[in-house]
Amino acid sequence: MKKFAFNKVRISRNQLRMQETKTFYAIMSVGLVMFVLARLYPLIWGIQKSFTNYTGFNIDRLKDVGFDNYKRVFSDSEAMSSLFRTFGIGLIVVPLTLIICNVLALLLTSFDKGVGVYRTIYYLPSIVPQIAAVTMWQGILMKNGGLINTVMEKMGITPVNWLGYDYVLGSLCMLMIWGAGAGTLNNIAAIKAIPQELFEAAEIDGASRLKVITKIILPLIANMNFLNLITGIIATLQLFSQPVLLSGSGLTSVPLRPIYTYLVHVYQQIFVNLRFGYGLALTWIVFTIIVISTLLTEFINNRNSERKSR
Amino acid sequence: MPDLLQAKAKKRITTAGIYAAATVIAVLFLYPLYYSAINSLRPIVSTPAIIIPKGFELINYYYAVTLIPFFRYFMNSLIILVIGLGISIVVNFFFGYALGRLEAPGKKFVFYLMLSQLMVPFVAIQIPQYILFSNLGIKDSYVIYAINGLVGNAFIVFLYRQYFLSFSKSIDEAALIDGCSLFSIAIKIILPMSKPIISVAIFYEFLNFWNDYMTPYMYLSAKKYPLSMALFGLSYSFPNNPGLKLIPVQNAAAILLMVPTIIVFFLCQKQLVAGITSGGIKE
Repeated sequence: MKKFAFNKVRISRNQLRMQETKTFYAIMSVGLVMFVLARLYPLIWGIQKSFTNYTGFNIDRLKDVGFDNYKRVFSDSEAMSSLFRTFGIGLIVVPLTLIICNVLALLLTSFDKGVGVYRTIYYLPSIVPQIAAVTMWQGILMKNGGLINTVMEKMGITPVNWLGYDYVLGSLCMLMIWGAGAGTLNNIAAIKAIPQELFEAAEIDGASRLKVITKIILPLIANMNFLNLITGIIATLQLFSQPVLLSGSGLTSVPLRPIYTYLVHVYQQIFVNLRFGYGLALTWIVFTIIVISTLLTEFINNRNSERKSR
Repeated sequence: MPDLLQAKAKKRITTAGIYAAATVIAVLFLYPLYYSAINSLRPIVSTPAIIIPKGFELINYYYAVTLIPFFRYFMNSLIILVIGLGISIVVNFFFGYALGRLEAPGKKFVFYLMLSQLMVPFVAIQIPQYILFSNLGIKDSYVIYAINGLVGNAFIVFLYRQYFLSFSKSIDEAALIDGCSLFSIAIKIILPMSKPIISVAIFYEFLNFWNDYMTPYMYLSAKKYPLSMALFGLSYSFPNNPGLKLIPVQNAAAILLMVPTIIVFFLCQKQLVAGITSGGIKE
């Protein structure tokens, strides 16, 4: 009886492998077909069209222009300045966001009672639909009747135009930092992953909370913070919606110079000027920058963790 | 002994300080929401309220839904949710199941294809996809949501996969011997065990579709816009004086757009926070 059962299991192991393969491909074939149709094909098609003079209407009489579109990117001062500007915005916003995430995470791991309420409050702004968030912030930043200016007037300070040339970058940063709470949860997870013994030992030694933070927690999550800094700055290169939303009345509205990001420039070329070929070339350049820097970060990160485990 | 007392007092002061800091920051984070809320309730011709509400004019909400075809946009949003979210919930679960629980030759390759979607910046797909698809005649139709839904959302697929990896393989072996197919294992055994991760997935999937305005902007005509896109850049103004903006009504509309998100968030909150803080989720 026992032997029979054993045989049955062995047979079903082999059958299992067959069945698993069949089921795996039955499920994944949907994804694979759609991946090719909706991701890979557009990608390759797009690369190919970036070497043509495609403008939207001339699809049946395209001319091969070689690398002209790409060369143009580097002589297009708008493109170059917006690329560096976007990078600069990342250099401002990402460190600020990270500092806030760390401070919030440290606060939230310092007490127990009511911690859930605070965590919810910090997280909440990050899920507010961008459109709603921007509408709300416009009410705060508006030149006439906006909150900040009203308060400033009451305090006898001359109001300024928070959505105007001089201050719009600051307003954008404020808007982005308001949604920083989402990252806090990751920092909390990292802090909670620190072995409890370290904290206990510190307590026995009578270390103050400040000491615990500066000598235990921060050094141990430094790696993660560094990684988040890099990936955050890379991700900022895709910044598009907030500047556009902040500036006005449509996705093709042109943001003021200080918040005119690289991707805004791309959308302007494609959706306003219908320079499809050129717009695609612009896209591939930022694509290449992002993919290379992501791979580089991964590589460095893997090497570091390998070195550590050794 | 006084040393101990002193230490205790010191600890109490530290705790009070921490609570004070946490509260101040919480107020700062909440204030923009509060500000919009009280200003969505103030009379239309009044100066903005700063701390104390200046009335309770629900009429602003009435204007918000009647000055524009609000309910048509809302219905469009619902259609998108039914198509997009419906497909995503099923597809991402099964992809996660296949990549997390099934062994097959070539699995690694499929896995890396999925992974590549997380590496490739979305714009690089979105723009050429739009140009290509509109050439192919996929325009002004909700089909695009089905197409993008069927590809699977890599981030959520990985969420599922990580979760499924933690189940013991002996569960499905036992079921297989009893004559279950792998499909029915996924539905009858894995699915009921995955409620926490499913609510997390639904939350992110919901956000993706509810907040998305790029897809409608590119693919849909104004009549088919969902709420997010319709409210974007839309300024409510006096019917016969477009120059005069109805700020309280705009605030009311923003709040209305937020309400479904907040509801879904509170429904999924427990699992969401538990999942992320336990280290399972990283976006």
